[in-house]
Amino acid sequence: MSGLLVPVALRQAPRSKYLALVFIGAQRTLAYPRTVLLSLLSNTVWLAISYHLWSAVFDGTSQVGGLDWARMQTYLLLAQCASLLLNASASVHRMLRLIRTGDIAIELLRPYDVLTSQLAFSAGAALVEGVLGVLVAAGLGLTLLDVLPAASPAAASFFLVSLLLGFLVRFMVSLITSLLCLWTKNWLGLHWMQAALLSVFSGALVPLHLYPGWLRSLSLALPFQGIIHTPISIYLGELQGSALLRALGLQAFWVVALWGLARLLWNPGRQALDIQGG
Amino acid sequence: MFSRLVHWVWIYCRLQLLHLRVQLEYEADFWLGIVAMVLRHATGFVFLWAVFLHVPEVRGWGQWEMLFLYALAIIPIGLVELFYDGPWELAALVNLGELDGLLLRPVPAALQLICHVSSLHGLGSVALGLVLLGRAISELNLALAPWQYAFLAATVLGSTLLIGSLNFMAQCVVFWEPDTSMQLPVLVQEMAAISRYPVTLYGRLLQWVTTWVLPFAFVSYFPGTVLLHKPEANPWMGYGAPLVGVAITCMAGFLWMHCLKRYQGAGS
Repeated sequence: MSGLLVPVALRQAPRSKYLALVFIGAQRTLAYPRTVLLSLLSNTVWLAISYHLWSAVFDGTSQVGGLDWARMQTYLLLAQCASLLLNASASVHRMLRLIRTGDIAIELLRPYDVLTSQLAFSAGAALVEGVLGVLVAAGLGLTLLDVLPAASPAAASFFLVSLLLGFLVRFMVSLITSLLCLWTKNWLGLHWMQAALLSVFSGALVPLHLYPGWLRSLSLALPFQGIIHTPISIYLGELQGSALLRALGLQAFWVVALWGLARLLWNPGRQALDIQGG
Repeated sequence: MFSRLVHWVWIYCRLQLLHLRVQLEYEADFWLGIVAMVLRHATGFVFLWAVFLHVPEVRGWGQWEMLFLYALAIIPIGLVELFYDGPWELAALVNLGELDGLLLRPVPAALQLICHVSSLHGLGSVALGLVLLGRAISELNLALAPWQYAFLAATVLGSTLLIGSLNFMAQCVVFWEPDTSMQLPVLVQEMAAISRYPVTLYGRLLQWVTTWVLPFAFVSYFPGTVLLHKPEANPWMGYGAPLVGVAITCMAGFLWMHCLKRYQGAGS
């Protein structure tokens, strides 16, 4: 695949080291094709599970909290693909492991900024998984499910912008999780905590519309909604005009704020770093 | 034979206690993990709760009936994390050739592997499951006879063996595919989440797979339907459910023997 061409191209034009890291991230993901295929498979299994659960729910009623079955199917498919694209979990896991095993010390010696390099690795991994995710989604959407098209061409393009911002929010959340590991010294609890918060508040589990008022307001006040809820609302045409721009602005705000928080944590975190010797 | 068995059980307890102390070493992460575990299983609860805010029943299943099955599934999942989580380390052990060390010690390698790690975090899901189970039994006015409580306990035990041993077998794939990223066990683990809801809600393919291939339907659905007196209950499948766990564990044992014969070390 492109794996053979990329290093050559890099050697000829060493422009940006972070761009190079993006390619390395992509290559790392492609290095284990069976792993990628299995992760696609488990994602599809999840989609099948939630599809069947919801179709059972829609058996007795045509509407659940203002969503009809066609919108719900669209929501499920998009949420599942978005989470595949946004996962890039491999690289974030890597950061956690680096800290747990002490290998972060080597990273600190390298001539790049550790936080930015993590972003580059994740972007590379997300690129590969995202392309595959879109292919699977398109395949399933066109054959098995009745998926609605985007509300309008503008909605489709804003959806892509919002998805990109969603990826950044997702990345920042993971980055902050791994930085907290500098203090807790172990990653399992932190990792699960993050996974639980993400699935409840991002809209990956249940569309946020179906929550009762207080839980919905809480979800909308947290950054996690920008990961799944905002892009899909734009796609379905629920956010339009100034509301749409506000939503995009909010996502951008969270990206900047969380990046700032990560930066703030990084310096004292390095002081707290405790190399545990593998 | 018997005294040797007692000896192994004693070693098992000693090893588990050792891991308990390792876990408490990382105090902050330990507490985060407990809370996270409750939260993680609470997500499924949030799902059911959000659905039942809008509809009264799903294909003949009421809210508390579904929560009953849900609790029946998450208790063994938590118990596996507490007592049977070691196989997750198998991939790393085989990759680095550290399995050699286990094979040299005078205790069965499978036993050492099973206690290689334990996550106390499982306590969170066991606690949540027990609370939900108790609430469900009282909300549904289930008058369970004492022998049915005994059956409930046997089911939980059988399901723990079932989920843990299926995970064990999935982990054995590392003897054929030495990639550390362990996706197959993750897939099996995610399939275990299927058992949190009645299998009849899924399509025919998934129903078939969870009954005959990865028999997670025996964790909650089959025993749950007999206890709830659902019309589709099958007493043979229901009351026989704990035996499925024992059978799967025996299969895992045979597979393990076969894998050890294949194992060649990492050459370091």
